[in-house]
Amino acid sequence: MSKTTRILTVDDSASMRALLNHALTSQGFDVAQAEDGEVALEWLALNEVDVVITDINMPRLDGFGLIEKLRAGNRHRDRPILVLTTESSEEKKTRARSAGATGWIVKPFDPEKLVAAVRRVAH
Amino acid sequence: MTPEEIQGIFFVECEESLAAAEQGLAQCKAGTQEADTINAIFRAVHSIKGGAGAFGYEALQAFTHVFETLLSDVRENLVPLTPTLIDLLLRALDVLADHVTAARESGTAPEDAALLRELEGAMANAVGQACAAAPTAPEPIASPPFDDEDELTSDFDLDMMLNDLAAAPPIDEAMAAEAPDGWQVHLRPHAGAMRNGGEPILLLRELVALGAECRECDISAVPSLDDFDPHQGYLGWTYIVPDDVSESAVRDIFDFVGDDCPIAMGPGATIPPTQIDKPKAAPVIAAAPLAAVAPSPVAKPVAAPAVAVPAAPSVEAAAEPAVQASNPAPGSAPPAAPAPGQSIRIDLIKLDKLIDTVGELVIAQAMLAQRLQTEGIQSNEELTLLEGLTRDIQESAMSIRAQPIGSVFSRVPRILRELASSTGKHVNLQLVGETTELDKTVIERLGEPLTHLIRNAVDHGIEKPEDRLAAGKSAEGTLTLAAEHRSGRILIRIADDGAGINRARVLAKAVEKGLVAPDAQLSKEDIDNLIFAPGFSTAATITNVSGRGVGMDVVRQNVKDLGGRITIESEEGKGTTFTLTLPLTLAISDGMIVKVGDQTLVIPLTHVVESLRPDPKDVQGLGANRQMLNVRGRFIPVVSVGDAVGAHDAINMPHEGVLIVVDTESAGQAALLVDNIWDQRQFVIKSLDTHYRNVDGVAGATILGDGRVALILNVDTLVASAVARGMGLEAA
Repeated sequence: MSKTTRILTVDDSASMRALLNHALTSQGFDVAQAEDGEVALEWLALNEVDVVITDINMPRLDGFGLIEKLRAGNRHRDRPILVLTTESSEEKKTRARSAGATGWIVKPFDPEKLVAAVRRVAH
Repeated sequence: MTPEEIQGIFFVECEESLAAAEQGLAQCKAGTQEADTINAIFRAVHSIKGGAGAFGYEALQAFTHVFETLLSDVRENLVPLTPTLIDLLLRALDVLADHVTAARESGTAPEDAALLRELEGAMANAVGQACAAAPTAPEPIASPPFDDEDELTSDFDLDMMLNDLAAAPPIDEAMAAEAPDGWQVHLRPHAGAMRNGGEPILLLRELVALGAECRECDISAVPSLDDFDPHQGYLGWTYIVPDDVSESAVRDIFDFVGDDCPIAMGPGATIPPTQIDKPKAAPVIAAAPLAAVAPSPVAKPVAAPAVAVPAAPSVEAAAEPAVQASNPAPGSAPPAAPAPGQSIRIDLIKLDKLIDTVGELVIAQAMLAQRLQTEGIQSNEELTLLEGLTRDIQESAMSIRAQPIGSVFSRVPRILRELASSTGKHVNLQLVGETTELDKTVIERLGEPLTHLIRNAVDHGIEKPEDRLAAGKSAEGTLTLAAEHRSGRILIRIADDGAGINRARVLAKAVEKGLVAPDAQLSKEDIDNLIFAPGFSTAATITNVSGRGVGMDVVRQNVKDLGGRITIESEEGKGTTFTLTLPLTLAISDGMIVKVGDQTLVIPLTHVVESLRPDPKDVQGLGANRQMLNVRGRFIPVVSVGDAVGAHDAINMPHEGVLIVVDTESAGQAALLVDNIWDQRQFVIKSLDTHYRNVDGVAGATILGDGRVALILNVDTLVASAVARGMGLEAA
C-alpha cells in the first residue's frame, strides 16, 4: 500500500494495549494508544487515523459510547471501527453492529486474525 | 517490547485489578457501595480474564470466567447482593489471587472445583447456567489462509474496481451450474454493508485473494443515472471458489457484514435479490436482527439455498438504531462516572535517574549558597528563589515515586480472613489515612513486616471470643491500622484491643532463654522491647500463624533496613500498639555530620539515641585500652570513630569530645566518640561499591554543601567489629 495504515487502539488494560501494539506494529501498522473512550475522543479530535480498535468494557466512556459519539460526528461517520469482544455469539455481533461497529475481534485474539480483520476494513 | 515485558505489565495489572476488586467488595461489605462499585469489581475480574486468555493461562481464564458470569448477574440485578454472597465473592477473590500467583510463578493452580460449584450455584439461573459457564475457548474457526496479503491492502482505485466488475463476461446458466473446478458463492451487498465504515469492495478482494474468480456480475438492478444513488447496493455477484477453500473461510470474510451482504452457496443457489431503499430515505438501513444466513450443513455440495432475505420495510427498521444507541450497553460505565486522574507508566530506572539528578541539584544549590556566603553575598533574592524552586522540584520528584499506603492496607482484609478461619478470632479492621503517600520501595518492603505484625496482633494480642466476653469486651477484636505524615516522616500504627503484653511471661521467657540476667532491673519498656530480641517467642505452642520461624527481631530488622524505627506501647488488658516511624523516601536520609580529626563523616540519624559531652567520671577504663560510658547507671562501650576510620589528630579522650549514643542491631548500644557535631541535614546516599568497592563500616558516601565527599558510617558493622576487638568483653 502506498502509505502506512494508522490505527488507534483503545483499551483500559495496558497489557492488552501492549499486545495489540506488538501484533500490529510488527506488521508495519502505525499504532497509537488510548486508555479509554474519553482519551480516544480527545486524541481523535486532533489526529487522523484509518482504523479504530476499541475494547467495550472501559471506565469513563466505554467502547459503544465511543462509537456512538464518533458516528454522530461527520469526521468519523465512515471510519472503520473494530470492537474487541470476548464472545462471538450472534447476539453480541448484532449488538456490535447496531452500535455502529464495522467489525469485531474476538479476545483472546490470534495476531494473524487481528491483522486480517484490520485489512478487511482498512479503506 | 518483548512478550515477557508485556506479561510483566499484565501481572502488574492483575495486582491493581485484585486491589480494586478487594476495595470494591470491602465497600459492599461495609454497605457503602456506589452505583459504579459492582461495575468496577466486574471490570477488574473481566480485565484479568482478558489477559489470562491472551497469555494462555487457561486455569486462570476458566476461573475468572465463572467469577465474571456471577458478577455479571449481580450487576444486572439478577442476583441479590446478600452478605452471604459478598463473603462468597471475597473467597472467590482470594482464590483468584492464588490463581494469579500460580500463573505468574508457573506454580500449580489452586484447587477451585468446590468454589466453582458454589459460584455456579449462586448464579441467577443456577441450572441452565452450568452449561453456559463453560470457558469461552476461542471458537476453532480455521483462519482464512491469505496467499497474497498485498492484494488485499492495495489502494482503492477505480481501475481495479472496474476490473473486478468486468472480471468475466456473463456466461451460460448451464455452464455455470456445472462449475467444474470449484464451487459457487453468490452475494449481494445491500446499502447497509457500506454503513459503519464498511467497504464491500474489500470483501470481494479478499475473496479473490482466496483464489475465487468472478463468474457473473448482476447489473440488472442498476438504474438510470438520474435515479442512481451511490449509497445503494445495486450489484450482485457469483464467484467460483476453488475446492480447497472451505465454506467457513468464505463465511468468515462476510462475518462483519452479516445480512447486510447476504451470501448463498451451492449449485442450486442464486444471487440474492436486491434490497433498494426509496431514494432519500433514511441514510442507513438497520440490520434486521438474526435474520442471518442459516448455519450451513456440513456437506457443502448440498448446501440449501440458504438465504433469508430480510423483508422488513426500511421505515420500520430505521427506528431501531435510535433505540439501540440510547442504550449502548447495559451495565456500561455511565459517562458521568468519577474520572480517575490520567496516568502514564514510567520505567522505574528512568525515575530513579531523575531523583538521583535532583539529589545532585540539591547539593549543587547548597554548594552555591555556601560559595556565595564565603564571597560575602549572603542574602539575595535570586538565591532564595532558587532555593524555593529546588525544594519544589525535589518534593515533586519524590512525590512521583510516592504511592498511597492503601495498596499495602488493601491486602490486610485477606490476611484477617485467613486468620479468622485458622484461629477462630474474628477481627474488625479500621483503616485510617489510607491515602497517606510514601515511597514505592518503602511500600514494597513494608508488606512483610506489616503482615507479620498483623498476624502477631491477632495471634498473640487479641484474645479468644470467650475470653474477651469474660473480660467485658465485645467478642470481636478490633485492629486499627493508621498512617500519617509527621515532620517529614511517616508514622504507621498497628493497634489491637487485645490483652496487651504479658510482661511477667515475657520476662520469665527472656530469663529462661538467657537474654537477661534473672536479677536484672528492667523497666516496662525494656521488657516490652525484649520481644524484639533474636530468638524470642512467647507463644506457648508454636502456631502456624505467627510461629513461622520468623521472629519479631526480623520485623525490627526489616524496619531498620528501611531507615525506620519500631516502638511498642502496651497496656495490660487494653491492647498493644506498634508504631513504625519510616522515612518518606530511601533516596534521602537524615544524618548527623561529625568531625573526627581530619575527617568529616555522616552518622545516619536512625541510629542516634542521644549525644552528650560526658563528665570525666562517667567514663571508666576497662582493661588496657577499653572504656565504658555510664549512661544513667548503665554501662555501654565507647567506640572511638577516629581509631576505627584511621583519622589523624582525632580527640581520644572522651571528656574532650562528644559521645553519640547509637542503637545497633547486633551489639546493643554504644557510644561513638567524635570531636564535635558539625551539622544535621538531609543527604543523598551514593553507593560506594558502584564507584569503588564495598568497605566495612562504611554505608556509602555523600557530597557535602562545600563539595567535599563525606563517608556515611555503617554504624552496625563499625560498632560490631570494634566491640569484637575489645577482647570479648561484653557490656553489662
